Amino acid sequence: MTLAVQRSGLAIATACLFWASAPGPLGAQANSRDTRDLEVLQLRPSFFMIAGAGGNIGVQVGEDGVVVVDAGAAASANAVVAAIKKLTTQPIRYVIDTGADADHVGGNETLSKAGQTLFTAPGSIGITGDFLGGVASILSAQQVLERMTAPTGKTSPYPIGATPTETFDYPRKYMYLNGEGIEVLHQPAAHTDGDVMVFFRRSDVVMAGDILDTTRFPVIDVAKGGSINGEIAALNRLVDLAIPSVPIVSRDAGTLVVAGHGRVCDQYDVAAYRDMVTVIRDRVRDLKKAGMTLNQVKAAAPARGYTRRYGSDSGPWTTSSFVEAMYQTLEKP
Amino acid sequence: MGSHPVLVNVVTRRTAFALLLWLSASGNALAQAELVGTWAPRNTEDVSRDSYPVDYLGLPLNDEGRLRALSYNEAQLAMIEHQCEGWAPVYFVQGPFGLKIWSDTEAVKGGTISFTIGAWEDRAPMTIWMDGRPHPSEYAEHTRGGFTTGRWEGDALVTYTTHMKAGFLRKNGPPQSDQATMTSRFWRHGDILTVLAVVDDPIYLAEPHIVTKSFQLATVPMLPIGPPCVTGFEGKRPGESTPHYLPEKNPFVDELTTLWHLPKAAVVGEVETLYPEYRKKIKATYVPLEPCKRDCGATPPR
Amino acid sequence: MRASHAFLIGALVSAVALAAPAPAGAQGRGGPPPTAKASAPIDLTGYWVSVVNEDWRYRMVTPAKGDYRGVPITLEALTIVNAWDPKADDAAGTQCKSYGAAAIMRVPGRLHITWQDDNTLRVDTDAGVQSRLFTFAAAPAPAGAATWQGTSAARWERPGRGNPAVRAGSLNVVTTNMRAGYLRKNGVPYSESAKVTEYFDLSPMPSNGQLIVVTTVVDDPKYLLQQFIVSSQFRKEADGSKWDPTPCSSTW
Repeated sequence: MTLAVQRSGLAIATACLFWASAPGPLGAQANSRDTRDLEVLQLRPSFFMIAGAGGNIGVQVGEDGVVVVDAGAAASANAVVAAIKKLTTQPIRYVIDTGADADHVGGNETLSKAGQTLFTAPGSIGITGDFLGGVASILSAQQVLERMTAPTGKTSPYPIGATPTETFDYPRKYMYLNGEGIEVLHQPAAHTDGDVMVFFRRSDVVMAGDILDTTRFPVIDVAKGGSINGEIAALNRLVDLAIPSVPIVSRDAGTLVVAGHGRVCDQYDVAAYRDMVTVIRDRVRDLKKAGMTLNQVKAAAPARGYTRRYGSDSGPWTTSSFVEAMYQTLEKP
Repeated sequence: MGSHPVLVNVVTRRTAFALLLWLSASGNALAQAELVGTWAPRNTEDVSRDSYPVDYLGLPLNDEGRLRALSYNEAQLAMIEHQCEGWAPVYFVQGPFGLKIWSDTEAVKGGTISFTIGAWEDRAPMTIWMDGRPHPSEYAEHTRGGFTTGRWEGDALVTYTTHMKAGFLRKNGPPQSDQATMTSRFWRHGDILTVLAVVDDPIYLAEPHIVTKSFQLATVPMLPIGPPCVTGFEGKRPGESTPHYLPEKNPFVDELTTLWHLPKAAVVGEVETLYPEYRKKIKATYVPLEPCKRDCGATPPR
Repeated sequence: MRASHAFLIGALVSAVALAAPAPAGAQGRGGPPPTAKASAPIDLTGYWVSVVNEDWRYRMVTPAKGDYRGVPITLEALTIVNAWDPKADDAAGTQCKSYGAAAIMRVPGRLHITWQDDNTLRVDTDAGVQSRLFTFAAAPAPAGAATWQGTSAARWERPGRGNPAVRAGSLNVVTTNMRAGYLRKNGVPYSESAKVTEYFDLSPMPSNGQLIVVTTVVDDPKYLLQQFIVSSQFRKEADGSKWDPTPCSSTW
């Protein structure tokens, strides 16, 4: 048995151990969105992005099957499956979660069940052809599994079928499918402590998850281990991964970076976003060093100049939330 | 001909078809102007733009845009990830260089599929699609040259650009957001091409930014692409801090006031300063300048 | 030839004839040619305000004496630039030197454009209280004494080989017979030999309103090494409520 399979088994066993008799799993919402709500963009000959299902979804297709990065929200899952079926008749083999947010993992179970495991041949240690029920694997950082399950006696936020079947807690996991290397890179303490970026090396596409969000200031989930310096480090790593079209700058070419929300980017866009976060961090740090309280820092409006584009006064993530998260995590690495 | 009905049919159909082709092509071609060629800048207008770190004269910035501009430190250009970025598409009008324009033609009817304004060292190429294709999705990548469609209004080419990257309206930092759009018009009068560009930016501008420039047809062709850009270490390693000025800490904010006695409101791009009534406001307090001692103009030949 | 074929060819040939531009004066089968006002392809009338978004420090304030940056002047002109004396201009009653036809479109202010008659377009400016008359005439009238605004000959430029049915175009104005003046307030000169060629183009603003773009080309064999070309923008206003006649000034 490979280490990966062992860990999958352990992950499942752990999840089962913690899964109490919950009244009903979350994610059992009606799958009400249809494909007309989604937008499918072809980024490369074998790589697509699906927008409109919650977080952005990446889809790599090929003769080995389909690798999906993020599964969107539960309500859109059926539509996502239908959209993928229009792209290829091959089954989904992997769902890779860039984080544990509901708009990225809500569709895990539906996509996984719509797919087919790579482990179809019986193994020497007795793995049957319907290993894990024959569903596609769900891969994530270890912390994502922990967020998606619950201690004994508590209700798990997700059904067992939605939880990752493979996890890792080291910097880099990789695979080679559909003719290219796929790196799954753990980025500690950015948006949360369980973020990964997924780099498709031949397609030259990076799925950034919520480390990059062109619709708002980056969400720093302090309760889930996110920190501002970790977020900046993650953005710097994205800048390092992506290559623009140099030295022939007249070409529109280079690495594509798919944000967790919003439009497709390239290295210049990621650098600009990184600069924005850095500038605001520096301002908050300067004010905090001067002895200002959180409320005083907020009153000084350190995000001005960027608020109209990325800020919000209402909703789940406001400018105030962003400044507060910065203030609280400035001293963390 | 009456004794050869098949021949009559063929000739009639071919004649009709040829006339139809000529009609559809000539109806458009009669009204259009020829834009293809190399257009040289004369640089006799807007001669003092972006020479100083804080010079937003003539820019209708809103408060957000002004704050962004004042925080900008040109040392960012030394960062490897910014060295080859170039400038926003409006720079094809605003910058000091000329234009090389060529077209791509449809093979059967001869219609124009696109015009391209070639790249140069400070800007990406801009392709103007004339074939009616739609603009891309809101989720699509924004490129350095943006996405532009065009149509003829009489002999004026009217273009609309979306999907531009976030960048700068001028080299010294007044920002342009990725939500900006640009509408341009090209008028040819003899050997002069006048271009109007109107940048609409709901994030950073109090009202549309209007730029015009005239170019003159050149006989010496311009290259269609700029030089390659090779990044190199210029004092900032990747991932090191982003140079910027903290709020109220820009050391150059009073430079033009000192040098040219210009009111601060104008220097930082307050929108009221673009209109003639502002002259009345500042007349009483304006201190005339001493005679020019440097950068007074090119010395004429003897 | 069958009747249907003949009809088809006939219809197509008629369409071609209609698409071709009409010869000048052909309208109405021998009637008078349309007036400039009646045949105007664009409507320039109304109140218009300068939008000073370029060369701000050369237009909104008086630049330093001796600053001629961007103007390709001759050595002879440089002498005049360095000798600029606004008090002398005041004494000589030539305060309006920087409001002449070669420069007036660059002076921040408002335009009021009207039809003085069917073949004369009038442009009044509140800055310097100047009036320009653009005459559409087949044969130009003999020029009188030189004035600040000179004598302007106008014509409509139309696309489509001059087809008056095409409602698009520009105003072309050529002005000569000017008194020597200043391209800029600080005494950068143009001579009495100068010729000003202008193109007035109209553009809707993307969100609302209209813009006139005036391209000004100054040729001056005496004081310019090459053509001096600038383009100025004016935005349409609803009315003349902000009209503010201000006399010429040699210093402001």
